[in-house]
Amino acid sequence: MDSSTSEGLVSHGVVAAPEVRKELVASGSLPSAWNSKDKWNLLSLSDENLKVSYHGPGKTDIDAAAVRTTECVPTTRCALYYFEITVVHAGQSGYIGIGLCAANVNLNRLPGWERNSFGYHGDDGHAFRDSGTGVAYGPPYTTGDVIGCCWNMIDGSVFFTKNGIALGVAFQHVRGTFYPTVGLRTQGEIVHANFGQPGAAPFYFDIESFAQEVKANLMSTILSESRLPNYYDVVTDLVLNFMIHNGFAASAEIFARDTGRLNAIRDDLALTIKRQSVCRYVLDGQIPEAIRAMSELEPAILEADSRIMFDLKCQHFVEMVRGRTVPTSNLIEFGRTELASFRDRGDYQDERLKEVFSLLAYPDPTDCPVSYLLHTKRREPVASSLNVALLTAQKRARSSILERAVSQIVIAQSEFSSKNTGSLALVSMRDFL
Amino acid sequence: MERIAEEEWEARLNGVKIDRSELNKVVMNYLFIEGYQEAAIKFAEESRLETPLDLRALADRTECRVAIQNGDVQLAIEKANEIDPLILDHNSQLFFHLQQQKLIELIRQNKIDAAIDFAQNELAPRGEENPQFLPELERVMALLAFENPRDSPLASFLDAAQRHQTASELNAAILASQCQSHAPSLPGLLAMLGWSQAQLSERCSFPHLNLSTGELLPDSEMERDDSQILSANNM
Repeated sequence: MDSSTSEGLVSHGVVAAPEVRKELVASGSLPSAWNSKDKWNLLSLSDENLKVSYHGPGKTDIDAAAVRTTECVPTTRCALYYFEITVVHAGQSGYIGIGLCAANVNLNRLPGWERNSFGYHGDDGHAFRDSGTGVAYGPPYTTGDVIGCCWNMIDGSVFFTKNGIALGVAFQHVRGTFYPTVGLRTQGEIVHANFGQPGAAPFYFDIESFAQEVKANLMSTILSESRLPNYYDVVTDLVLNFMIHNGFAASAEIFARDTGRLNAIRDDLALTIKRQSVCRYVLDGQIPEAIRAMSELEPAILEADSRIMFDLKCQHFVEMVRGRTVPTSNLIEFGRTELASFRDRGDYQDERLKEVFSLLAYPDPTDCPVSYLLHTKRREPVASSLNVALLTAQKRARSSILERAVSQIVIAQSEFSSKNTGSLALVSMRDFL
Repeated sequence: MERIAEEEWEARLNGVKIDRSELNKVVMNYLFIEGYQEAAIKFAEESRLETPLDLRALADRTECRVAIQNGDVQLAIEKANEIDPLILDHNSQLFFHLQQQKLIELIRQNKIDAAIDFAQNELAPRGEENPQFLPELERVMALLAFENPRDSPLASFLDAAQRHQTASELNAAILASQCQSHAPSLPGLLAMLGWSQAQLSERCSFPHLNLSTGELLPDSEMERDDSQILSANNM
């Protein structure tokens, strides 16, 4: 399984939004190896600090020795974290523990014995948390077994895996800053870690499928729990508002008729038709017609808002270049008389002027570095700013409610993810589009 | 708890760049899936959307929707049976809701005798088979207790939204029978909005969006607003 593909949810043991994973991997702040400076001295590290071997007397519990990774598990904007160890040799008694622990936990102990540490032990299969007494949890494990530890930061649970099989939740309410850890206690014990780092073998456990499952569950929870009580009316009004706002008068009229809302929107519809008549000219590339219609409808706008006039004229210039019927000399003339007066009005104007004038520098404007200017999609923002100006003149809101709703999601999510939590790392608005 | 002021939030909201054509697609997807054929065709034209969707396949579903929204439930049932008789056979709740909508239409037309007759002969026996439907049926029947049902606390049954809901339920069942996705993305988006706001509310206080007006509401007012909606719904 290639966990680095763009569709996957896991990289380097971390389940998070793709951009977050990219950042984490690039910053090198993910656990990738055991820390030679943060281990009990009865352990030795080898194989790029992935292999841990025990060299102590291994007689009693005071001979236990643990090690932490160089980096802690990232929690901000992450949903799940996973790592695995292979028991290379279970040694004399296989008193091996794998789990998580905080930075200040005594390393002369096995994971789970101390406060702020959690572990699954090989000799008895018990799970330990903050205590020398464990509870029955999973099967014991020994030489050749691959044991994984997964921390679900969405719900704060931790579970372990054995040879690719999940063993069920071991701990709940696990919140804080923790390091992957492993502890050994008897002679001859050796384990080898896999942190999903570049070049590492695939995990035994299919963490990708697990992450997909968590994500699907989360999405169905969102859909079922967050359904509005007055859903039909809200959605219908939202769609209608969107059509009216954007000047889709005919669609709005049909949809309003089909949903019994015609009377409620009659006034708005009349205004919409007016706006649409202007914007349509822009979308069709007929800029002089748009300017004429605009000066009939709301002359004050073109006078007060020079930016709009500037955008229209730039677009007109582009349309003339596209049409190729206007001689270059006339284009230059237009540029000098109509556009040049906007020079030195601001960075925006200067940049735009440079951009559109450079169209003249190429024999074939459709095949040049600024050919994107000729794309008809570029008419849309011009039409849209005209629409907004007209909406303002008509004392209507600048944005449709749907647009505000989507913006609200974007802002809430960015605010939310900066506040350190898991679920949004897994589900984004994209998933619902 | 941290509190984000309305002005600041509004400024952030206005700073978000949204691709309008993306929103066009969301609305188009809604019209298509919910079965608004004529509006979908017009919308594709006005929003200059290149439309890969087969709008002809929408005709049947649109007929069903229009029939219900015009109060002709029987026509919708016949149409649905023409498309696939299994749709209603396999979906007792949908069939019950369609019959119930018929009853509502009779009450709307003030055909009291016909309504009682229909309820006794068609609805009550089905209700006995499926007791979970009965409470709703009883509420519809209570409409008969009012001389002017439109002024009664149960008037919402007579709203266009009630027809809309029944039409959407039938539409979803037809889509499911044709193995098409029957979940438009717009409700998912709104659910995402509700969920994001709820999650963030646990960590900080910020203005919520009123979906009916597009205005921002302070956190505390929003709670009051929610409870009003809920209590209105539980009547």
